[in-house]
Amino acid sequence: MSLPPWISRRALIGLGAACAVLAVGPLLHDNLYLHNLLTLTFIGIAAALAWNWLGGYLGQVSFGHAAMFGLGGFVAARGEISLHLPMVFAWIFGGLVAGAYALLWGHPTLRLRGPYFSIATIGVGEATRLVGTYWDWLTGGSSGLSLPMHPNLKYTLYWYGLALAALALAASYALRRSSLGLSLLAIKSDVDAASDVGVGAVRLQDLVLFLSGAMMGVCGGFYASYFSYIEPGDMFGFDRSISWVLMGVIGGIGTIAGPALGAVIFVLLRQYLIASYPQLYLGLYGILLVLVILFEPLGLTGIALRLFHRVRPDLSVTGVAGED
Amino acid sequence: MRTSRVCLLFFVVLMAACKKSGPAPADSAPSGGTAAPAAGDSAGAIRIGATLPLTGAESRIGGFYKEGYDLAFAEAAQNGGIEVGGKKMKVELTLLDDTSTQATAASLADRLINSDKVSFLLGTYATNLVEAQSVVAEQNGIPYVNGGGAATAIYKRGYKWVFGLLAPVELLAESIMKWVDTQQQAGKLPKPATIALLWENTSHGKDFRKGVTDFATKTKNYTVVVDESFELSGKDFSALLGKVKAANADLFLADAHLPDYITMQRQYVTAGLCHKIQSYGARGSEKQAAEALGKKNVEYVLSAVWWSSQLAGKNPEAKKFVELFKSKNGGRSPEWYQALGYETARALFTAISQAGSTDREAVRAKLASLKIPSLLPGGELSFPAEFGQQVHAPFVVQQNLPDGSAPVIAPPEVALGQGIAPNPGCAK
Repeated sequence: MSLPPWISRRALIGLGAACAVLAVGPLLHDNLYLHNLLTLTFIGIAAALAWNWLGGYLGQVSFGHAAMFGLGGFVAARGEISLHLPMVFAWIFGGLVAGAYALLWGHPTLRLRGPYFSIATIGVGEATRLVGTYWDWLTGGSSGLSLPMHPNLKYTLYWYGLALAALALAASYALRRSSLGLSLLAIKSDVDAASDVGVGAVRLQDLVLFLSGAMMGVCGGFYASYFSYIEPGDMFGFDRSISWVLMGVIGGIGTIAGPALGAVIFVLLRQYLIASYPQLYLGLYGILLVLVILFEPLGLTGIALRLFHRVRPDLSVTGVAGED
Repeated sequence: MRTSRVCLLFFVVLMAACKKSGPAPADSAPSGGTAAPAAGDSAGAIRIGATLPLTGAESRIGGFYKEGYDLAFAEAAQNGGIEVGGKKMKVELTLLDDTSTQATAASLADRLINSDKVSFLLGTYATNLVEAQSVVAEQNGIPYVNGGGAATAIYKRGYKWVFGLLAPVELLAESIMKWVDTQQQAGKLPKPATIALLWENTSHGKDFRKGVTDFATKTKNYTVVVDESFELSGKDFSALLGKVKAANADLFLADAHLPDYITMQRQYVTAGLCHKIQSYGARGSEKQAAEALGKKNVEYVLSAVWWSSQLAGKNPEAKKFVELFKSKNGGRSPEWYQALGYETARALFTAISQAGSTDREAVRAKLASLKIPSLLPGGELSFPAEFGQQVHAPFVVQQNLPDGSAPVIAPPEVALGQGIAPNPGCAK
């Protein structure tokens, strides 16, 4: 069976190898904390990539994606508690509802571009948080929801998380490298010009927003299962929305794997700094961001590309939306 | 290129500087700063982990709890450790800053258990953080003793590894209402009286609301005319206070954390409000609030708290604690935060001693059946199973007076004053 032309064999092998190494990793060590931290990193990777579909590929920076994350989390939790759905089905259910919710506010809002869209998403995020805090029937109100605890569930979730992150990465690759990616790039560059040449801008933006929201919702469901307790203030929090923007900035907004790298740095570095330099971690974080934004707008991906060009100046590397 | 190298160098130097100024490994005595995981020479020592909100919205209170934990660990160190199975064992505290956020509180608990390999956990402060963190303790089957989570929702989940020293907020509200009721019976307050009730939209606030409304329903002498919630860590309460003003109620009862109390009371005073009875639940008597708002602006505020240093006159455990705290803190009097922090650690130490081992299940069983003399009001500490292992000690009601004091006015057996109602300040 031949692969579509836009799929690179090297990328496929690379993803498969990375997944294989990470899948057998826990069998080689007994550090449960590292195990759990990697699980959290996987959720971070999947969510950051999902955010990047909208913020990076379409250039519509959202500060309100916690709305979908939270909604997906609570719907999945309710699905497990009240409807007794199996865990994975509950996540998918949460994801679909979150995707639909994203469309509900996103379809009209996506007409706005740039900072106007971003400001609108702040409003959506905050409004959803407030409504979520008062909708006791869904979220348990300010007391939150406790999910049933199953022995070893947290440990097992590592592999589910890995699969979710791999799925998000594969989807990122497909969205960027397929013909759809070219359309998204055209919309990002100039939405009117793209429409003029026959790109269905509204339909494609809605599609990307739905996919982004749905993946966020699945991540929220995963998060609920992982922590066994969720509360609206935390799930819908503005900090959470900001964290995905930061992951993108650190790793490289608009790149295929950049936000995944950003998520790895964000989750691991943050945990390390909080535990080791609690009074300074925000300052250090800020300095890191300032340095990245000032000197390498494409984040870690940009640094990697520069290094690669130095080693192999004869080869050109593609994969950066808007840059290649 | 040169600039980027300079910046990179600056970043590396900063990291190195931080490394040098970072916290030292905790020893059997607590460190002055946030303690890092203890170094490898901890053989024969019991490692206890904790997180507190040392930065973020609850940092002020987190610092108070740290003082309590520090004191308990210093006392244990001074005694050569705690007695376990006939020999003395040192206790080491690994304390991390959860930055007042739920996700961090939960993930740091995971780190303490699975990376730092602590044997027991002491809880963080504030109901919402305890709610999230206690799940991790339960998942990992590690005894978790907290003095910072009062909401009954925490203890209604049927967890077997979670123990709470803060009595329910419903009882707190009831304690205030009982004192108010005695004033009403004495003819000092209108009958029936109207209540403007504001509560933070958290489990804590919901419990407070339930306590007040249940009492009002039961006695039929009170009507709640304003019943509104507000967001934790709010910045502007003027709209809510506008409703309160329009309602012209006799009693103003709010449930708020310290930062919200300070913000709300500032706006309350600015709006020219005055009620015959005014209370912010557990907040009101804090020196920090009086300093922030001015002594005059907190006069006659009622508060019901889990402990007061005035109990030292009637409770030997409280007396011992107050003397110990003052001796270590230049004569400064402790507030309930430090007392609860201290008592939380002491409860765990006692359970370990009584278990005679550091086996988690043995210590959990001892905590479940613990019954010891305590500095808490009522003089006894136990974790009744029927209340989900949450202490049910009585509250002490205090009232701020113009001279800056806040005497205990209820319950009668520990009261040092009568209390004043209605607020004479309103007549001016």
